[in-house]
Amino acid sequence: MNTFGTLLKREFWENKTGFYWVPLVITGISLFTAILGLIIVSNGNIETVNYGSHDLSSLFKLYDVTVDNDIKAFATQSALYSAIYSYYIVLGIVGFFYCLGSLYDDRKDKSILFWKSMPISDTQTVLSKVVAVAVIAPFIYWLVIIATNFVMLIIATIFAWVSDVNAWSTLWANSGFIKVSLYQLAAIYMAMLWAIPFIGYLLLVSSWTKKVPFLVATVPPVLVIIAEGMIFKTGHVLSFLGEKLFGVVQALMAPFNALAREFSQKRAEVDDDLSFIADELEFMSFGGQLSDTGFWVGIVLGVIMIGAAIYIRRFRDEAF
Amino acid sequence: MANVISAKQLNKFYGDFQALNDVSFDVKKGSILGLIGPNGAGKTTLLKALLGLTNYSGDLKVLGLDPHTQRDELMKRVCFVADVAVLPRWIKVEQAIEFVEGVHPKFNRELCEKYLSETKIKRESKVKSLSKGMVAQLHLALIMAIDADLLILDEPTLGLDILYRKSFYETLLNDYFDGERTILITTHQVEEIEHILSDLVFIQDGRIVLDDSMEEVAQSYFEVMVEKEFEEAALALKPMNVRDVFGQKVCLFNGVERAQLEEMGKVRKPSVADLFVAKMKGEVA
Repeated sequence: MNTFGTLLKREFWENKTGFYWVPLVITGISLFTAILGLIIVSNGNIETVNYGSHDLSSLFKLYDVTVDNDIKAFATQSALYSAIYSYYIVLGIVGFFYCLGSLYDDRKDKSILFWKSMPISDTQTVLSKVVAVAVIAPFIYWLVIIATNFVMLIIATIFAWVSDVNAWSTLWANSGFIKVSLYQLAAIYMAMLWAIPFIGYLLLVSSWTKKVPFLVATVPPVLVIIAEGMIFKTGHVLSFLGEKLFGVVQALMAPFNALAREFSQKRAEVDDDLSFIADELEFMSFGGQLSDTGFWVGIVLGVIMIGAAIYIRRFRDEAF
Repeated sequence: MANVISAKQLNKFYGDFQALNDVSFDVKKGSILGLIGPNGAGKTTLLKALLGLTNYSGDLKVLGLDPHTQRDELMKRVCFVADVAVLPRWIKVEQAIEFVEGVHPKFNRELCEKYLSETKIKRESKVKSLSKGMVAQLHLALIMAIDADLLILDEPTLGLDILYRKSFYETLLNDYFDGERTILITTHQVEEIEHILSDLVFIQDGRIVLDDSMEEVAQSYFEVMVEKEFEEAALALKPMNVRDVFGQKVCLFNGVERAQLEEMGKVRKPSVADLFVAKMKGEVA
């Protein structure tokens, strides 16, 4: 018997589509476009650029012998890293609807009476939802991301063989695969910490509302922002929300920033023109984020709202 | 024997509406109690109070625990089936078993499998693909495989066909009930459960109007098929209820000596349904 583990399994069973199939579908799409891109471009004229875009299909440009090895490394690593953006956007959408439904759907279809007939405290129930969305789902997405990146590298290897290029020295040695994967893992969890106030808010709405959680969650903040703007001519609520959202972006960008800095430091030894990359893309490092007051305010607010969601779940009269 | 449920002066208001009005009753360990009342009488509110799903004023102890504040502790020892249709629609049969096994220390998988093997339910089916009867069978199989001290069933067989209802109550009495456990059942189909009940509680408009063991009921309530010549004498004894059957009056008496009634016609034990109707009429009048 393992109550919390069973509750997590329960969340996975119910949300297998969003937590498991959706990231695999993105993988399918990315691999398909990458292969398609390779086929199309390798039949046309290859134009070389100096350093990489975030488009994984640009990997093939690495085999141009005129391109410097550092640039190849940076291009490969940033391309691999950038997979996190599309997956995280989707995870954000999946997580949003997951949170909204998690404490509402079972009240609507009355299955809450089945869950409540089991010896599970409401604290355990609500925390299992928090862990599912903030720990389990990101981990599954991360596994899918690194698996996808691995397959991308294999596709690139095949392309290298066909192009008669040494795949190990141009590709694998440069890919920083493990480093990039760990950066992604750190970024995805850092972003989740920034998202805690949103998770708390959505769970609170889900636990409290009697109907249409989506509207109840979205309309009041919009009205508050508009009212604040009209009455006080200020935008504190909006900037507060924006700051937390920007935190998520910062968390995801920080490792990319580190990659760019590493690269520009190397380049600086050869050619100091390129140092601007790091300057232009300056985001707070994880250390900077962790010592940011706004970050901790968000965590505290998130925890309070999760506590309120538990309280409502526990003490509200349930329909029979 | 110790009381499994002990309620003293429970009151519950929904706004102006009083759902429970000074409800006091005790349930002894090892009894099978039928809680009978018309719709809106307060049955569900009372069950919710017992299960810690609603607040109330008054003193209530279930297995010695306060359901409102000690709910987590209580649910380890109490099981309930609130309504047969409340299993989550997305869950697979196998997952439902795995879930209960994972969270309930007193769940017995073999027993559950045994109950299920008597049905046509397939392990890989999702609840939403099962018929209403099958969902009920699954839910009851899950709950009856739990070794609970108190089982609360709210309309457990609603919407099920007669064959299943009969076999359900047989299983409940023969396999599940062991004299140690306590069972509380509410249902509209009184006639199907009256032979298994040990105690009877009627509730109307939030008040308890009858609270007796079946033995006490059999000793104090009599139904008499009155012979024509004794009709006036019978009516003079103020029966609780009178109905006509084949031109003869059938009178229901409370607290009249059996010997006295036997002079007027055939005496028998009233059915719970007839007693219920008589009680409800009496309360309204």
